[in-house]
Parts: sequence; structure tokens; C-alpha cells
Amino acid sequence: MNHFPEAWGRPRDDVYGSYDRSVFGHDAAGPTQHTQQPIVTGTSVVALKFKDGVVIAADNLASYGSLARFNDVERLRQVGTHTIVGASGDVSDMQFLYEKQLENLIIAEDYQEDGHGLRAKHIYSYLSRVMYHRRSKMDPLWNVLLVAGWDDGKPFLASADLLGTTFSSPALASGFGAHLAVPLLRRIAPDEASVANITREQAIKTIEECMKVLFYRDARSMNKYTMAIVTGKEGTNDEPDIEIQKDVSLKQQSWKFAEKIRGYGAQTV
Amino acid sequence: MRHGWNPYTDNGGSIIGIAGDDFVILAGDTRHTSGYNINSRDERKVYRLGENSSLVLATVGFGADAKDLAQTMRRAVEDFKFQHNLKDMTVSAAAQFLCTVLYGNRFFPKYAYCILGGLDKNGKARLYSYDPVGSYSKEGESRAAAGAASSLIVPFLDNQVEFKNQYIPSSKGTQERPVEHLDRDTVVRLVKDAFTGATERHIEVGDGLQIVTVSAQDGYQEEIMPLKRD
Repeated sequence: MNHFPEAWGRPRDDVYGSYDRSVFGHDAAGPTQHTQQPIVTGTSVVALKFKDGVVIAADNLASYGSLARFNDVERLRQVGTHTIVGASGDVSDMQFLYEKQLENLIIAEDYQEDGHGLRAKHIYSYLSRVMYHRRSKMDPLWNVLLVAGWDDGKPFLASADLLGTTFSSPALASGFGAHLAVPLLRRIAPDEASVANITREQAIKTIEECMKVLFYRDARSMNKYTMAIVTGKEGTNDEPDIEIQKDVSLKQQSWKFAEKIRGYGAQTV
Repeated sequence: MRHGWNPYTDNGGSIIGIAGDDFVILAGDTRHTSGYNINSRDERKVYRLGENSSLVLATVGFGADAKDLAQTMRRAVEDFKFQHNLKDMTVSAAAQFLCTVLYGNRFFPKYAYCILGGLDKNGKARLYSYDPVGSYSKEGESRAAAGAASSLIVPFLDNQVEFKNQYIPSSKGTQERPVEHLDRDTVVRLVKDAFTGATERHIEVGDGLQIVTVSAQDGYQEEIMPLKRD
């Protein structure tokens, strides 16, 4: 017996030898460790509901730390007929979700051939449970996901993250967008009721503006992005029209203003 | 450098439960936060456990665990009905079950504070509150508060529901004011006052107030009152 409480009740090293770590199997250094850190990452995803649907956008950059590693990565994915999923965070975890999990989910659903397809809410429910399950295994999928689509005859938009935290709002953005884009989006969509007054054109314009602001201030962003617009028929669960615009460039983007900025760096005025 | 990942977070917000004689009121604000960010202004924390149930559960803390618990409870209550010839689970049974669920996760706790309310078979109000590992009082309580602003709300409820530190004026502070059941309008007013107060002083509380009433007379009623959004 010694005065360290954590050793009390344990087999004494001097009698039984030190703890046999080989019980952990191949890795004698300790128990299996899952928790990683994101490696190749995508930045913000932004989305906004409007009267007849949802607009969602994410740029095409995959960063490796501060290195702009890949500039042709699609971070939006259509899942089934009613849904667009957008992912920020770890790109390989995103690809696992898209190529393996969601792909298999849709195939399994299609094989039923029962005329029923998974809509936005179902996809979201599935993804939330996967995210929460993985966090509970201490082996998280390092992403923030936005699910946009059409369900219950109205626009659907919700978020799920690596902790399994879920929430829904008429305007959502992940990562840097939560700081820079959400305030801009909430100017026209302060609450659920205001969504009825937002037109498709207005929503697209606002999202484009957000992508521009994010490009100006988010150092892990780029000026080429993908935007998806889901437009449904009010009050029905009929297949919505999904328009996916790829390789969109920022409109009227210019660094001209930068040369007028004074007060930083080494200018002599 | 080892970067430890934390499987928990705090999504702010507060909940209150007050039991009258034949009604129980559960309320929670509708703000959902991450740090200084407001994720949503309309994310509700009070859940009805089944379509025709008198059981109501409010959860606050780590949002993902809180929602998971609510879903577990909703499923259990529904399943009980099917397993027991459409008999409703009693509020005391639901209370014990919630305790078992929470304690079942003792070694990886669900980081959520729960308040469970409902009517017993005589139509009398029952209210139970829990810590994250399932401690609760079988006798139930008259009022409970949990979440970010609980430290602001609890003393208010002590004074206004339990009449703590209130004395009969003519007794010169020698005779305590006797505790009595409050009527519904008074309780709703207290809930609204508690949350408008908490909204003023706590940044994680605000946006909207979801007030759920279950009474022997009028069944289930739900109301949303706007709170300050700043």
C-alpha cells in the first residue's frame, strides 16, 4: 500500500510484475485509438431556404493545412431525388459518406422497387445517426454536413456535425460561413415566416454574395464553387427540380479595393 | 502534441418545469448555440412522449445527447403501449425508466439534464428532474429548472413557487407563508417572467419560449412566445 489512491486495489508491480500491455493485441503501446484530426479539408458550405426551395453552395477547394491542395473537389452531392448534401471538414470522411454510405443507402432503397424513395428528411435522419454513432464510438467523421432539399411539401434545410449535434434554420452555414455568411443570410431570412417572401432569384443572389464575402476573408477558400438549387412544388412531395451549377466563378470579384487600404504593412503614407 | 478530441459540447438554453395540482407546465427557450454562435433560433427542447400521451420531457445540455434521450424515451413509451395491450405507461414508470436509461450510460454519460412531467392515474400532476447520470427523487417535485440559466432561475422559483423567504406580514417575520398549489395562469406568468429575466442576463438564452401545458381538463397545449433575439 502506498499513498497514491489510483494504485490502491491494483495488483502490486513488485509481486505480479508490471501490467501486461499485450492484452491490447497487436498494438502493445496501448488501447486502440481512433480519434484523428482532419487532414485534407473543405471550408464553408452555405445554404438558404426560399419560397419554393433551397439554394446551397460550396467552393471546390480541398486544403492540406494552409496548402491549396486540390481545386476541383465537388463538395455537394445529390442523394436520391429530393436532396442535396454539402460537406465541410475532412474530405476523405466526406468521400466515405458519399461514395460508400449514401451510395449504398440509395442502392438498397432502389432495389425495393416499391415506388418509394428517400426524401430530404430521411437522408438527414440517416446522416445524423451515423454522425452521432461515430462520435459515440470516439471515432468521429470530421465533417459538418448541411442537408438541403424538399420534404413535406416545403423546403428542408438542416445541419449535422461531427458530434452528432443537429439543428435546423432557414439560413445555415458551416465553418467560417457561420461567422461571415449567416449574418448576411439572416438579413433576408430572420425567421421561418420570412422564407415565404424570398424569391428564387433573391436567394441565389444572396448566396452568391456570401460566396464572394467568404472568398475575400476566408484564406482557405477559392473563387470557383458549385451551387445547387432545389425547387419543389408547394404542398406536394413530387420530385423537385434540382439544378446543379458547376464551376461557377464569383461575379464582379476584384481585389482593386486592396490597394487603397492603408494602415497595415510597410507603406510610407 | 496530443490534441484531445472532446465528444461533448454545450448547446446552451434553459428549461423549467412547474407542477400545479392537476396540471404540469414544462418550458424551454428555443435558442441553440455553439460558443458565441447562434445555430438556430427555433430548436425546441420540450418533447411530447407519444401522440396522445400526457408525458412530456424537456432536455438541455449537449444537444445531441439530449435529442437522443428524447427519442429513446419516445420509443420506449410507444413500445410499452404495444407491449401492454394499449395501456399507457404511467408517469412514475416513465420516471424510473428514464433513471435506468441515464444510469445505464453511467460510464459514458449522456450529458443532458432532464425534466419529466405528466399526470398520474388520478389526474394529479407529477414532475421529476434528473442529473446526467439519472439521480432523481421518486416523490417528484413542485418545480425544477436546468440548463445554462438554471442558477438564475432556481432562486426565483424557490421564492415564487415554494414561497421561500416569504413571511406573513402581520407576523413580523416569524410565520412562514404556507405553500399552496398555484393556478395555471400564475404558473404561466412565472415561467414567462423567469425566461424574460434569464434572457436579459444570459447570452445563451433567448429567441423564443416554448411552453407546454398538460392538464387533466384541457389535455396537451403548446404555446410559443417570442423572447429577445439579441
